[in-house]
This record gives sequence, C-alpha cells and structure tokens, in this order.
Amino acid sequence: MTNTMQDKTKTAGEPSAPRLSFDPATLMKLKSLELRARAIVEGMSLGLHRSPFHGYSVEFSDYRPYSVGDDLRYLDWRLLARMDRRYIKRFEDETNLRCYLALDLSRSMLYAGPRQIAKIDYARILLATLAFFLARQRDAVGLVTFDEQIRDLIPPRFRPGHLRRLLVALERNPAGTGTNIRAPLERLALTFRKRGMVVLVSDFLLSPEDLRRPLATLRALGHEVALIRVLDRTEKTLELEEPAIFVDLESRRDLYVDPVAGQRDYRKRFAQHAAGLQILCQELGIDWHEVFTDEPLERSLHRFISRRRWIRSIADNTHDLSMASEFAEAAGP
Amino acid sequence: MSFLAIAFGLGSLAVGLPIIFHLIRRSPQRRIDFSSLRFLQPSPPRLTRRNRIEDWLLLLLRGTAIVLVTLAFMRPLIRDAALVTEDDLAGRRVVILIDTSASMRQPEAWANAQAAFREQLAGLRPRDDFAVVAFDSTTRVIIPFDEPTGRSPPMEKRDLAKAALDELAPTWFETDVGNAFSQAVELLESQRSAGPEQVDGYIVLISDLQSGASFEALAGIEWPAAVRVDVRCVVKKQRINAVPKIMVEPGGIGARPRIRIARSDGAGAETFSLVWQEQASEQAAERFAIDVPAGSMRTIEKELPASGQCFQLALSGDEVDFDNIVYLARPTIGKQIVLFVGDEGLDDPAALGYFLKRAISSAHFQVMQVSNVANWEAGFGLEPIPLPLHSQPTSAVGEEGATFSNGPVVSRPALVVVAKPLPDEQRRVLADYAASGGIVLVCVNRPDVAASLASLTGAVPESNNQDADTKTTDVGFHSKYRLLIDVDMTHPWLAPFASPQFSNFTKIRFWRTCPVRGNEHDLRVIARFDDERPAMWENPIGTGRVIGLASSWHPDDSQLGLSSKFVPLMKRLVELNPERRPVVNDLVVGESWPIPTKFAGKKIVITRPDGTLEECSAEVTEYRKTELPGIYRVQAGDDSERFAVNPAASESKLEPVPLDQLKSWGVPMEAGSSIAQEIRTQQFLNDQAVESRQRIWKWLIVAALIVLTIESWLAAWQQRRRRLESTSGAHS
Repeated sequence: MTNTMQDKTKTAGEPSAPRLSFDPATLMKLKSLELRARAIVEGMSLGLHRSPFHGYSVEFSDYRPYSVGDDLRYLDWRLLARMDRRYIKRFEDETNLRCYLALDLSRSMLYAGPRQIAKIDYARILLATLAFFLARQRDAVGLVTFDEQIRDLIPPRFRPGHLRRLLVALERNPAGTGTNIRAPLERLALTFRKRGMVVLVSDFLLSPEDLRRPLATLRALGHEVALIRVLDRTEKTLELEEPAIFVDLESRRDLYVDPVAGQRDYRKRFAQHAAGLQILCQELGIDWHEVFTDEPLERSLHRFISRRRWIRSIADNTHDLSMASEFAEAAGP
Repeated sequence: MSFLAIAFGLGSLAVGLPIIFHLIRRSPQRRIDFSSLRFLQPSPPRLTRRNRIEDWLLLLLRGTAIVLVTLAFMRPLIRDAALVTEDDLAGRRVVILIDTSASMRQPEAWANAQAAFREQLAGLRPRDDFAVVAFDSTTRVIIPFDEPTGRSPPMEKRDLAKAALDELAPTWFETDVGNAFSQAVELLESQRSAGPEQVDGYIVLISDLQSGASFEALAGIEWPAAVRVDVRCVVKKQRINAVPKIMVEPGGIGARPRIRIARSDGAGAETFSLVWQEQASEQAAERFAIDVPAGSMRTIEKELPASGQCFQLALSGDEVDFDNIVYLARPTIGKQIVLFVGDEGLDDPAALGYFLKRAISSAHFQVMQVSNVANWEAGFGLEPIPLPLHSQPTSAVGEEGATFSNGPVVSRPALVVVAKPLPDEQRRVLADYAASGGIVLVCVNRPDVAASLASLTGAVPESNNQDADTKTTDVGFHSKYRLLIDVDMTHPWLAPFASPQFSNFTKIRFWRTCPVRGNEHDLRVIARFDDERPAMWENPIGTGRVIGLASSWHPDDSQLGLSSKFVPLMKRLVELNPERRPVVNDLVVGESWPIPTKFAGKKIVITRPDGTLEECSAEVTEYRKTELPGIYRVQAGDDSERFAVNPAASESKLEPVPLDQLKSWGVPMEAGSSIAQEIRTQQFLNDQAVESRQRIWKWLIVAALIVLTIESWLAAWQQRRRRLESTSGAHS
C-alpha cells in the first residue's frame, strides 16, 4: 500500500510515451496470453509511472469502534490487548473502481487480413493487458464475452486467481454466427448495479442504431463506457488487389467483388458508418477508440489510457471551475 | 467396324470440353473470408476471353491420344459374320403350365390366363419345342413335346395349342402346384434324356398364384440345373371374397347348423347376405345379413328350412362368385351300431362301457349296450335307431327325451364287445356273427369270462395259477404290473401303429390280467405280457375275427383306457369290419364317395348336379367322378341316397403368393424376355467372342502411347526453344 501511495504522490503530469514497443506479429509468437499481457504492461510501466486511474481507486484502511453484532473475526485483537479498546479492522482491499471488460466473440472477429493477425487475437491481448494493468492497481475487473448471446460472464472481483480466470475466458474461440451487443449489454446493466467502467471491444460492424439503446441504458445507470473498435487495416481501406469471391465470416454469404473497382465506394460507406458510430458516442458521452491490428498494442493501449485521463482532467477541471464559481457566487461582492 | 461398348464413345466428347472452356471464359476462383459484406457491392464478373489457340499441333496430338484411348475402351471389332436373326437363337424346351383349378373362375383370371398363354406362344423362338400342360389337382398334357425322331411344323403346333386352349376351361378341382411342377420337370428330364441335343428347359407357369395352392410342396422338388421357371400371375387386382362354410358337427346336422363366413383382407364391403334354399322346392327362405370385418371370420347359427333334405346356402355381396354356394345333404342311413354285451351301463364311469362309448361314438357310429344277444335275428329286441333329425343322437335305447323319425333299422353291428360270461346259445349267435365277417372283441379280464368264452376266443384259463406275484384273492391281480412285449405290428389291428413314433406300448401297465393258454397254431398272438403269456390274440372264425384281450381297459385293471392309444385302437377295430362302410354325404370336389353297404351288390344310378345320369355297376365300391359341386342323388331300386359336393376351401384363399416367396422355396426363377431382347443378347455374345479374338483395342492403345510420346517430345522441344529464345533475347 505504501508503495502505491508513493506512486500516486510521486508521479504527476502527462505520462511519457512508451520506450519499448512490440510489433503485434512478434507478440503473437508468445503462446501465453498472460505472458503477452505482462510483457506489454512491463513495457508500458517504463514510461508510465503512475496509474492513469489514480483517484478512482482509493484504497482505504481504517478502524471503527466495535458494536454488538459485528463479526469478531475482524476485531483487532492486538489493539485490544494493547489498549483494551475494541476496534473493528476495515479491509484494505475494498476498491472504488469496477471495470467490466466486454469482448465480441463473433466470427467476424476472426478476420486476419494480409498480415495474418486476427482481430480477435489483438482484442484478447488488449483486454488481457488492460485486466492485468487494472489488477496490478488492485481494481476489480470483470469480463463478458458474447456473440449473439453471452458466452462467459465473470463478475468484477479482486482476489487471487481471478485474473487467471479472466485470461482463460478470454482464450475461448469465436463460434457465433452473428453479433448481438444489445443482449449482453442489457444483461450487464441488469447484473451490475454498482457504477463502474465498461470497456467494450468489438469490430462494431453493425448499425449504430442497434447500439443506441443498450449504450444509453448503461450511461443512464451511471457507468462510464468506452468502445474500442478493433479493425484490420484492409477493412477500412479495402486495399486488396485481385478480384475474388468474398465470403461473409458470419453468414457465409458470398459475393464476387473486384476491390479495385469497388474501393472508393467501399471506403465511403465504411467512413459513413464509422462517422455514425462516433456521433452516437458523442451524443451519449461515450469514449470511442479505433485501433488497428498492425499497430503496436501498447501504443493503442497508451492512447486509450491517455485519452481517458485527458477526458477525466477536463471533467475534473470543469467540476473545479463550477465549484469555484459557486463559491464566488456564495461569497458575494 | 462395330463397337462392343458404345457408351464409352461419349467419353470422346470430353476432348472438346477443355477446348471450349479454354476459349470461352475464366472466372476467378479465389475466395476470401471477409469480416462483413455490409459495405461491399457486387462487381460484374471480370471474365477473360482467349480467342486464340497457341499451339494447334500439341492440341491435336493430345486430342488424338484421348480419342484413341476412348476408341480402345469402346472395344472395336470387325464383324465377320451376318447379324443374328430369329432362326439363329438356340432352341429350348418349354413347358407351359396353365392353371385350370376352381380359383381361376374368379373374375378376369381365365381371360388373363388365355391372353398370357397366347403371348407366351407368340414369344416362342422358331427352334423352341413346347408342351402344354393343364393342371388343377391333377395334371393333363394337352400338347406333348415333339417326338425325338421328328418335329412338327412350329406354326401348326401353335395353332393346335391355341385350339386346345379354346377348349380348356377352369374346373372345380383344387390346385396342386407342386405336383404340376414335378410333372413338368419330369417331362423335361424325359425329353432331355431321350433327345440327341442338350437344350435348356423352361417352365412357364400361368396361374393366379392363390395362396391355397400347396406351394409349400415346391420346396421338396429337386430342380435340374438347366431348368428355369417364369411365372405369370394372371390376377392383377385383389378382390373381396367371402366364403361360407357349413360346420358339420360330430353328432350330425342339427336344425340350426353353424355357418362360418370368412372374409379376405382388404378394404371393401363387410356386409354380406345369405339365404338357405331347399333344392327340391327351389323356394328361397328369408335372407339374412352378416357383418364380417376384413380379414376375419364370423360364425352364426341359422335355422334350416323346415322341410327338405338337400339345401344350398348362397352368399352375395362379395366380388368373387364361384365359391359363394355351399351344398348340404342329409343322409338317409342311420348310424352303425357298436354292441357292448355286458351288465354294466354306458354312463357309469366305473364301468367298461363308459370308456367304449366315448371312444367310438361319432357321426357314424353309436354304442349300444345289451345283456342278451340271443334274439339276434329279432334285432336284439331293440327299437330302430335311425339318425335323429332335430336332436342329438343318444346311445341309450328308449332314453326319454329323444325324438326319432322313422327310418330303416340298423341291425347288424359293426363291432361286438363282450365283457361277461355268455350261455351257449348266445355264444353261438356271436360265433355265427363272426363267421359271417363280424368282429368280436372279448375282454377276458376274469377267469369266468375266459372259461365261458373259451370256445369263442380259442384260449382257456390256466387252471393251476402259481403266480408268485399274486397277493390277493382276485385271480390275476399283481402287485407288480405287467407290460406288453412282442407286439405284432404286422397284424391289421396294430398296423397303423407301426411307425416308430406310435409303436411304443411299454408305457401301458396292466395290474389285473387273466392268464390264458391256447393252441398257438390256431391262434395268432398279437401281443404278450412280459411273463410270456398271451395278452392279445386273434381267433379267426370264418371271414371274421374274434379278438381276445387278457385284461381290460378299466382303470382298475390297466392303464389302457387312459392311454392315448385306446381311442385309435377301438376306431381301428371298427374299421377291420369289411362290411363297415360309413355313409359319407359331405365331400369336396374330387373326393371319392364310398358307396354305402346298403347298396352293396346293387347297380346304382347317380344323378349329377348338372342333371346327367351315370350308372355304377354292383362291383364298384367308390364313386369317383365328383367333379362338380352340388347335390348328387343316388338311386338303386327303391333305395336312395344323396350327398353334397363342395369346392375345396383352399381354393377360396385367393391372395397371391409373392414371387420372392417362390424363390425362397428354391424355384429357379428367371423372367422371360422377348425375341428382340434375345436377338440383342445373342448378337452381343457373338460380338464379344469376335472382339476377344480380334483385340483391336490393343493396337489403339499402342497408337495412343505413340502419339503421347510424340506429344511429350514436341512439348519439351518447344519449351526448350522458348527458353533459349528468351535467354538470347535477354542477353541481346
């Protein structure tokens, strides 16, 4: 705890850029997801000396007087022996931040592109790293994996072995033939009543209007929501050379497409869709990130964390300003 | 030039397909798994067209090689003989079996059979020899095979067969397919052994294949290897058939006979109407209806018309008529008598006569008990015992409640059983009866009976009985039982028991025996006890027999009465009487009618159902021409009799037997083929022989290999040349 507190007090200002970066293709050679996540977190910590989530996870340790009915297991016997006073020990590992990680396991996430890095692998490492990072900060992390229905639902906890459980769930292979974000998010909203942060990782190849209602529900419940869109570069640009029969990974429908001929039209449609998603996020106050599988993972993660911190600082500043103005108005001329 | 396997010629078309595809278009075959087709628009296919073939010579060589291989697979041949004609087909011996049984009277069956017969005649090869055999319960050769010495002109013989067919018609006899096939095989085998050449035998069965036709007998036929059978079923549609049957009870026909209606399986009418009709009056009684579900039977009792002796029961409502009428005739002759001479009654379970009555009483025999046979000529002082008309027969004379009609007296018993000592006068009566052909069975179960009837049985009781096993005062009672040994199965009485499954008499134990002895030169000992004393013996007197039994069937004396052999032994004893000729008045078509004793020595005239008259001489004991169903009336002077003849019940089982079933019974089935098919087959066989001799395909394969070698060399040379050209071009 002491070290953590020292970190919190010692670091300040913008985090510096990571000094060591892993190429995703090299990273994929590591077999264990835990190893990958650990490698990235270690790399990030070289340039990041304080938690970007500092202030949210206030670790608290305190005593309160014993009252009849309290569990005697939590009575501080040493204090009782020394001072003859009955105090109840409050646990240190209570945390304020609950983070729900949600991963799309639909078959469209299997798309690998010419670089042979599947979106799902990239997303797994991204989430594993995030989980690892949060766990190091003693925050509670939960996980939801879904395709057209929820596959795994692990509530946020902070306890030994929980991280490993999350990593095992993340290893599950995609099997679904469709994506239905609405159902898992609604379930999430029903399950997790306590406010927290929801990080949703998917390719979001669905209509923005389908996302509106579940995201709005989450926001209404007070959750902070961040959407991370994982894409292969070719999905955005359609930079493929030869004409081919394109087969939909989810519906197995096929279509003959000449990429050269249809590239412009494709990019236009894709950009329109992405813009629609961004507008939706702006309207709902949701953090929106777009990462590509050819980017180093720690850079993507760093960008995500930095952006969150920036948003947070704006919010804090806004809050401070409003508080100051309220105080000035109250003090009067 | 001809080809054996022309279908392979289609393979040569494959030469053109690659060229066509090459010239027309090439569409992309690459497939990419993409995350979503949401933003993609289908592109028009970008096809490439190649209008020019770069190397004609190579293409030509490759095509030639394929064509040569295809031609080799087609197995070409050069015919060195003329095409096969009808006259070239090998001759066969064909037996056409045509079913003429009663079941062929069902609708359309005979017409279809005639058509099938004509079709079969038309399908015969010019060199075929054929015979036509009609069959029902017997077989009749209508058209025989040609003599081995010479052949009749084929067309003339066929015309003869067609004319014979026109004269054929279904009979009323039942079907015996097994016999028909046996005869056909025999006919073929006799021709095969007599003829100079070995030709195939072929049997064509034209029948309705009705299931009642004793097909099981086919399993026992040994089929020669060269015989094939083709079966033509002439019934195309299963029809609803209901068959009435009058159940004749052992006690005779009462006023309300039982009628059983059996209906075939299948959807259709289930209500049938029946009517009794008295033949003489031709006045029908009231109709009555009966519901019989598909595939089931129902039995009802229905009163006969009040008067008359001959009736017919007609059924209507089904689709098959030939078996809808059954005939019934009441006999005019009463039952024959079995006389039991003893003091005990016939209904006392402790008496001997009790067992005798139950063993022998039937529709034709009646057991009577008397104590005195002295007044033989006067009919033992008994009242006449004709067949009761409307009541069950009774065994006791003058029994109250029995109603009898007037009729002739039956005075001479078929069998006399004696179980008591008799005075001289009565012994003489029995001796005379036996001498005139009668059968007398004497139960010598007591010494007094043995002594009294010694003159009749020819055996006297042993006076000095020193049997060590004797434990009581009763003579011959043994605490240790006796068994039968040395049973003479050649005696007519025991001859039916000669089969090994019936010949075991050792299970019958005798506790009370009467030791007798006699002159064994005069007597014929049929069986002995295990102490070597006679147990059964015969004393022949005149034309008759006196049979002695040194015990009895009473349970106190032995197990004989309770043995399964007792009833057949007693029945057989009655049958030994040459005068016994029971009146049979219910026959199936084809069965012989035994002429009753009362007509013995008389010339009789029989009026058949179709009105024709037939005379039988006095010597005839059986009337065999029961070919038609109906009532047959017999007249001999003032005496008359009648009997009914009905179609066999098996002929009403019309469900066709599946052809697979015939195969399972070992019938070598082979469907017949037309002459055109035969010619094609023969031509193919000839071509095959020629082709295997010429083997042109080998040369074609060699040519293809040569072409492929040239093609390979040419392709390699061209490739080398192009490479050299490109290298030199690069250097320059």
